[in-house]
Amino acid sequence: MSENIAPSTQPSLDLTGLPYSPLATAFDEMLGSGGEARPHWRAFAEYFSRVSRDDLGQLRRDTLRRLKEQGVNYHVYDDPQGMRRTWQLDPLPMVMSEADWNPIEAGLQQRAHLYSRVLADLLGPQTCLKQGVLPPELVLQHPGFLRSMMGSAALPLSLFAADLARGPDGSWWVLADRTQGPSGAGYVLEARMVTKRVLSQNAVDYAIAPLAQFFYHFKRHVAALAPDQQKEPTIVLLSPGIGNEVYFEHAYLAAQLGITLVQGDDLTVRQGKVYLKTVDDLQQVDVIIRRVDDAFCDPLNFRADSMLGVPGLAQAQALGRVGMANPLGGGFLESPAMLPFLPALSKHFLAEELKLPNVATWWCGQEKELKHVLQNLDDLVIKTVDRHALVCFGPKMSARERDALKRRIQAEPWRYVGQELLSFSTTPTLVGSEIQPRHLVLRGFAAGDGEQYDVMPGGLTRVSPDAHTFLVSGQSGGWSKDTWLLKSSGSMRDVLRLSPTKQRRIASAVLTSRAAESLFWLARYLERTESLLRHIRAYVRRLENYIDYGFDTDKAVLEGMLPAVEAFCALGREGLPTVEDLKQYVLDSTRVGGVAFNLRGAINSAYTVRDLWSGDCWRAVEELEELLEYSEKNRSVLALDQFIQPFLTALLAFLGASQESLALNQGGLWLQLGRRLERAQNTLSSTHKICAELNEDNEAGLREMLLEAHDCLSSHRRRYGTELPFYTLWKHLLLEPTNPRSLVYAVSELEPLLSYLNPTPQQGLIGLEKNVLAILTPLRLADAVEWRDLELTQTELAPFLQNLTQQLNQFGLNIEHQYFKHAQPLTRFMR
Amino acid sequence: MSTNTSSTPNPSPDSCADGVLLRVKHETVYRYPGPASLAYNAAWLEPLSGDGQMRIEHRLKVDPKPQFQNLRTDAFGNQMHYFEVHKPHSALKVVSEAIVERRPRPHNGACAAPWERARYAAASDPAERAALCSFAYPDASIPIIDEVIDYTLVSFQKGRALNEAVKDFAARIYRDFKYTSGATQVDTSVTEFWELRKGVCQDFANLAVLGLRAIGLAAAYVSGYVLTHPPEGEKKRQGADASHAWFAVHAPGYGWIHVDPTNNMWVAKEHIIVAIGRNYTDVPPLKGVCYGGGQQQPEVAVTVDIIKREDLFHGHSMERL
Repeated sequence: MSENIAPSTQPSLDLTGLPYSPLATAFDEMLGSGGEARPHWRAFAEYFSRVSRDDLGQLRRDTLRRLKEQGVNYHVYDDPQGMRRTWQLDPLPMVMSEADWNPIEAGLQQRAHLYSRVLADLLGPQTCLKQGVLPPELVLQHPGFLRSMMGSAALPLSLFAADLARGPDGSWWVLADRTQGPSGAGYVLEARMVTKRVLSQNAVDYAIAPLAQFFYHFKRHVAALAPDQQKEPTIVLLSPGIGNEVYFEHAYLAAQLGITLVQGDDLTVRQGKVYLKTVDDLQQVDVIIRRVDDAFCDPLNFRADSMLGVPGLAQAQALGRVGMANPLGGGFLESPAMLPFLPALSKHFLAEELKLPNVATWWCGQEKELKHVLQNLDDLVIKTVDRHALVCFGPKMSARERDALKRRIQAEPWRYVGQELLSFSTTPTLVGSEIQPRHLVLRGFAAGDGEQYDVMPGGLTRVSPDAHTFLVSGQSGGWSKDTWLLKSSGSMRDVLRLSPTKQRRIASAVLTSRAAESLFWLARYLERTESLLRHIRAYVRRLENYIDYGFDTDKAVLEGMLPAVEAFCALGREGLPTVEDLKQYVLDSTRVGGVAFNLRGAINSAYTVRDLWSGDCWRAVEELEELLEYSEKNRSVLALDQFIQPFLTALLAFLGASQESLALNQGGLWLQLGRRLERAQNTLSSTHKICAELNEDNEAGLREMLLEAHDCLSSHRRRYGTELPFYTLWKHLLLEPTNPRSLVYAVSELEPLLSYLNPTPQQGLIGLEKNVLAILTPLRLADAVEWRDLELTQTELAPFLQNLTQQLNQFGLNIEHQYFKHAQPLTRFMR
Repeated sequence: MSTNTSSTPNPSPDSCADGVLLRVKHETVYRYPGPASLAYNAAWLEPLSGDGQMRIEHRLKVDPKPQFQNLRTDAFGNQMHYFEVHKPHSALKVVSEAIVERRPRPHNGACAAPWERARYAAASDPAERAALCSFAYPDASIPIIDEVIDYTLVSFQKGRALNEAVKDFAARIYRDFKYTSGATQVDTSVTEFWELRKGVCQDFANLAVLGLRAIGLAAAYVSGYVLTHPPEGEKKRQGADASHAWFAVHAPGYGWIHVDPTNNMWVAKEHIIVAIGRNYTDVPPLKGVCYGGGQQQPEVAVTVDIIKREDLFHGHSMERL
């Protein structure tokens, strides 16, 4: 497709075959009122005219596949699919011309600048209240106005966003401003990657303004907030964690920006400074990119019931000892009641006219406006000033609802606004395999220093789920789109040439103590599950034999094996478990220690360190999760062995991928430590349990099963033939340094890992290294001949294993105690 | 009017022309059931200067010694101390000692003007509205609000002088509600107090503040102390052994009129004003968050006495407590 889209030179387009009809009532982005394609949409109009329904279906499937590969999620509260619901991206972008865009860009810059000034004033001298520009109720009665931030050092809004819609006359209006920690910028990046890729295969190719520059500016502005400008700043992104609807974006942005993703309990305040708890020590944080609502950020100064914050964070910001993007205290600016006052505020602070108009908004805190709202309730949207409360659509209210609302407004008028119901413009959207008009809202982003702002070219477009509603949020089932800003002059190459040459260096992302712990436990859960699955498989094979032939020796062997299986997870029943029992054991996620339980634990751990995974790794996590869901759904029709092998394959794939993609110093160390420790513990525990069960009746079969459960049977056969004396069994399973599944092998692999934790190797070993040496040495010195028969096994080997078990458990506790800084529970008091 | 004739409010604080020196020692000890590793605290313990009071000295001692301390002025002009304790500790002791000079301002004509003129809605100057707005609106979600309005309006008849109406209002609260130590908790709601008909100074103040705001006046919650041993021949004041609380109502052209409904008296020579806020949670004497520790009721001891001017200039006046 041509990069030159000047309308005058183009011949008129034959759109007779265009399978798209806009609504009569709204402005359509692609087609003018006469049905002609607007110049910047021509390429799409042509594409739509020639594309088949099959192609469109394929386009949708391609999009979904790419999103799934990336693991892009949007968490819809109360959705049974929970965390794993794939983000709803429409591959057809919203297209904008520069003529449309330029006033929006200037308007966003002005608003971001203005809101920064308003915030600094309201947390400081409050001139706009004292001079009557803004009614004090609007600020001082707003439940989100954080008085404890008053008098703190003024900080700019580093990231600002506004939601815009286009009315029937073609002009753009601002519906709402976002000043806390606007979300969506990361999704735009993801939308761009997917949309461009799937559409380029369909020959729809434009010169689109690129996004990279915007993120470069964002990072630059954020780095400039560091109190100490001499050193490389440490920047973190503070997220509420995996329960948050846009957690994916937090992880994605952190990974893209190369900063550390943290939650409240990863941070601690000392002397009014903020520190990150890493596995090594406390590391000072210079700037926080905040994605936790301000009232939840500090249980001392704001909401005492918050589990997401850091006590003392408000003081840290107030003292100017940490940069905060965006500053605490700016949340109330999102009040829709601010909108009607922006023109006056703009004159007061900037001596300028407001560039972007707001959708007509009446704040009920004023007499005339209150009257207007009450008289026109049916034609308005009613919102509360704090955004987490109510939104009512006038036309959709019953008489009773209207009366109740009226009474509420009259009781506390300053809490409510009425807003004009604007008929939003529509844009072509892929619905099923058809192209249909959907109403859109555009979220534009600006990043800056309080005065100068850089605007993201384009933004996040969201469309309504059906043609008759204006609700576009992800929570209400809306879809997102990329927004393509067409450059009429200059190619992309020009823009890229400006790319960063002297961006200030920032400190590289560090591993938090919590992330290390998550990785450690993730690996342990997976390794434990692997071992458990092998035990179950060995057990089931023997059980089927017993069912088929009824030999008593098989029964004795099964009984002897049971304690080793139960060491993972109590079966809680008398006698031999049936295949059906074992299925429960595998798939019931409420059964502590069972396969599903462990895997859920592993997946949760993986989510909490979402920012660390490569695409392949994340795909492996999702496959594991999909397999788990599939198996849970189909538990009644699938045989047990149809579960075991796929689970083993999927978890080995993940362990393999994670080990490949995570460097030791980026968390790989903890993954491997967890895995080796768990393997050694499982081998010890299972061997020790079985030693205690060995007797004349079952010893031959049980020894074979032990090897099978540890995946050593075939390697033993290759080495020693089909005979299985005690001597070779113990040698191969416990002492053989060349057998990767032997105990000594697992323990010896801990040694090089621990050397990474020793900061001063020239000064000798650290405690953990000594722990491992104390386990390894007796293993290396041991001689399997001393355990050559049943009696010696029970008198010599069992106590030997008992001792090693204790030491290994202590080693595990030592790791946790030393490197994982457990936050104690919080106690709050007021007196 | 009041049945407690012995405690009828002193006629008006304007009889207190001479300054009085008051000294307070306020000790709070939290003994945690378990060890606490880190503690973050905020304290509103330093008496303010203003409203007929001058802070002469203040000292805050914390044990264990904080690793970090910071003093700032909050949104209402109060002094807020912030401190961090980083060392493991099993008890936190906070001792606040202060000396203030009380020189109550006599009521002026503005205080005796018809109360309707003091209503927030009557204020037209934006700066004054900005200063009072935070104190002007009741929490409309309180279910008993209509009853409280009716109750309040009994004292606020049309055209009545503000200070007279306030005096009467305080006296009626004093008569209709019973001061009962331990009857309520820090977080007891006004509604519960209204139904129980008994509570502590904080509840008395909360109710008054709600009623005054509900009829359109700007009213504040005040945290402070009252003299431990009252003047000869008078009975011991309620709330004298702990931190105390009362309310203030705003009179345009005068400022805050402080009234103590628990003792049915004007706030004058026997009170120390610590902090003024919208409600208790704006100005708790001490609040904190710690890791570990565990919930525990604190031990609180307060002593307030009158000192002579000579004691002040001999230095170390606070050490003798």
